[in-house]
Amino acid sequence: MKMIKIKAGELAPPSIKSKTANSFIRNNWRPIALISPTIIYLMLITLFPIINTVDLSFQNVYLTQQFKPIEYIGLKNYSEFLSSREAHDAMIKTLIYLSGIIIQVILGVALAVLMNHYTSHIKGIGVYRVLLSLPIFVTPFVSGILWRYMFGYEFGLIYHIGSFLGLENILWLQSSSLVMLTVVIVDIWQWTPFIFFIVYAGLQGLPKEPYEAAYVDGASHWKTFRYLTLPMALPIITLAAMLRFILSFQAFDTIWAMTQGGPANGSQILPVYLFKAAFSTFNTSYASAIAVLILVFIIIIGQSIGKLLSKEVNRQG
Amino acid sequence: MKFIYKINTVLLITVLLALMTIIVACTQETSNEQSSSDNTMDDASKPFAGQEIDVLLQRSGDTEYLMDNTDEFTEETGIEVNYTPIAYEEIQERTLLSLSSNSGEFDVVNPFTEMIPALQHSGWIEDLNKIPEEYNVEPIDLDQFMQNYQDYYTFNGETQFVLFQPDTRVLYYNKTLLEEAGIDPPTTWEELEEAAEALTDPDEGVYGYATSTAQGPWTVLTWLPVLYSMGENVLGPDNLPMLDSEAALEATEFYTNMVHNYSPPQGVSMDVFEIEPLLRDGTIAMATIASIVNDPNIGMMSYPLYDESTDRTGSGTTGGWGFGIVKDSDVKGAAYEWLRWATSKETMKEAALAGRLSPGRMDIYEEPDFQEANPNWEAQMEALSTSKMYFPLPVEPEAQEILGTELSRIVTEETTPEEGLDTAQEEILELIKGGGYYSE
Repeated sequence: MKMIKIKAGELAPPSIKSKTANSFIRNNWRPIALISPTIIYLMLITLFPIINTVDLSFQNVYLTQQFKPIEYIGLKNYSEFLSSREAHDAMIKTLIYLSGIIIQVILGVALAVLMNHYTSHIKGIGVYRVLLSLPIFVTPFVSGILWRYMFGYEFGLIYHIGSFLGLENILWLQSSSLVMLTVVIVDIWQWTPFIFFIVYAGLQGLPKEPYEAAYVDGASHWKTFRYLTLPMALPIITLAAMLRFILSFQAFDTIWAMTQGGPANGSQILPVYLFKAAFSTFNTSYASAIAVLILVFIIIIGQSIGKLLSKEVNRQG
Repeated sequence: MKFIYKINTVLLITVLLALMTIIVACTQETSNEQSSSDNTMDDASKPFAGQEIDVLLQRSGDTEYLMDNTDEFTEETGIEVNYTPIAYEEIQERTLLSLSSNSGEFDVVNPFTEMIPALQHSGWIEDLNKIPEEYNVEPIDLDQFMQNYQDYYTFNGETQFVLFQPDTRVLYYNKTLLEEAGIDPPTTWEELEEAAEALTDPDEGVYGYATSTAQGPWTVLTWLPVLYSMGENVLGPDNLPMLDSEAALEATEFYTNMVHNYSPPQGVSMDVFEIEPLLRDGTIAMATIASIVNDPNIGMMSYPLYDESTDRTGSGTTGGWGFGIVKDSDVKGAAYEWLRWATSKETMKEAALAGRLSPGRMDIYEEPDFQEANPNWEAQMEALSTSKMYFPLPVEPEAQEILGTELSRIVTEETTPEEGLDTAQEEILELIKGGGYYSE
């Protein structure tokens, strides 16, 4: 096959002065040309909304009051958020909600380790895996409605189980002090399989040799887990936890279907607070400020976890 | 050489595709013009034949009827109708996002009443009085609709909506339970409390009273009839909120006591859909909820008065649904024709019979078949036609959120009625001042 040579350098943008950049583009112009539409598209659909949201957060835009002139009001939306009693309450509720991730990680890792260890011992292991995965496939809004009825007073399954155990009159969804626990329980039910699957897939890829050596040395199950599995699986566990952490800030549907953030704002976590600001009170700019703060928070925590993770991986060599 | 051949092939295909697109587009345009001119020649009584309208509506039994029976309208007028039915929970976001972005997505919208001030002040909705003359269509007889709603739908002299399916908050009672206990439907607060006390028997699983207390608009909407029954209002002269008044406090205390003393344990956070089945099966004897229950064993009345001498300010708030035409629509004539059909006596009656039995036209309540289907028609008509909007300002969504949260905090005993109302008063006043709707 005869190759047609085209002088790639002719296509390089004249503005690029650096010799290295020039040679990089000259050598890679085909992949760059092929990938650039995707990059431009992704920049448009991610960067533009982010810039627009940041811009909105400095204005006084209300969806329902578009007849009013739009003004730049500086950091007023941010200071309002930081001084708002309701926002503080939502932040505390969010921390309670996020604490559920710790339980999800512990349960997910435990399940993954058990399932990985007993893969060859249990018949029909695939069936168990499918059963474990079911909660992830339930649409969050549907799961909210489902659990709302399950926790329903008098008629709900949980109420009856509670009565059977001697725990009557528990207002799972009607008590503002108990409702957050209910939400966390539902979240654990739905998202533990998410951690399980990621960690399980990671465990399947671990090398067998260290385990064989440990077996020969007579290491106990616990020591094998503590000194082999856990250090080797730590990056994947951290990754799963980080993904779950980021996804938690998208948590809305289940809580909305169960309680709409009530009673008395008892289950109003930040995403619910943001939604209410945007679509119950139509304060677009204030909602944008909350969204920006959440984004910054996720980036900071994500970066910190990422750094910790790479340190740990480096430490382990 | 092969590369140049490939480029030529690609160019040829591109040119051919472009040519085909142009040819198809031109043919379609010609065919549209042809069809339009054929229609004009064939039937002069169908001035909007061939036009398409897009209608955003709330999904309910009533609107299902409209959607299922549009064929006859299309046959009569030649107007095609595309419906986008949306659940109640989503219609506010969808309507406002569509209108605020000037998407031109819908020609007709179906907002609930609390959305009206925002739509009116934003200037998104067409004046319905202008359309008949402009498009040479027969006007809708607006005098047939409940005037309290139509007054509310009129802004700066422009009638922007036509009432379709109103609702308000009323007191329902289980006739069997009251009859067995020898109790007449209560007409005053005192009688209501006495009846609730007499009917409450937790050991038997029967509770005297319940109301929608779930956080959100529901708490506000069921609290309003209590305040109105004292002859009071939320807003005073010049839009000054009156939530720190003695009357508001007394109304709130009564509202809360009824929930705490005579409702089932979950009564501090229940919605209408949880209460309705319990009312029907006799677990709850009386309930203040939306006027949507149709059951021969369930009686209906306006919320009992503070005392016999009180003149109520309204039965409850003006809830429900109306239709309006979007100002940016380029098929306003066709949209108006559809609106006239959808709100005609015949269509609305059939829709009501298929749905909530709560039509917006007064003349339907006089129809024997409607009266037969809805034994509570008299009480319903009275409650609906005396309902009143509590917060006719564009900042209503924010105010409702503030008041709803505080009432939920009061009912769940997170705060006291005094503190909760003071907080609501302070925040709503600030909101109103910020919006420029009140100045000291």
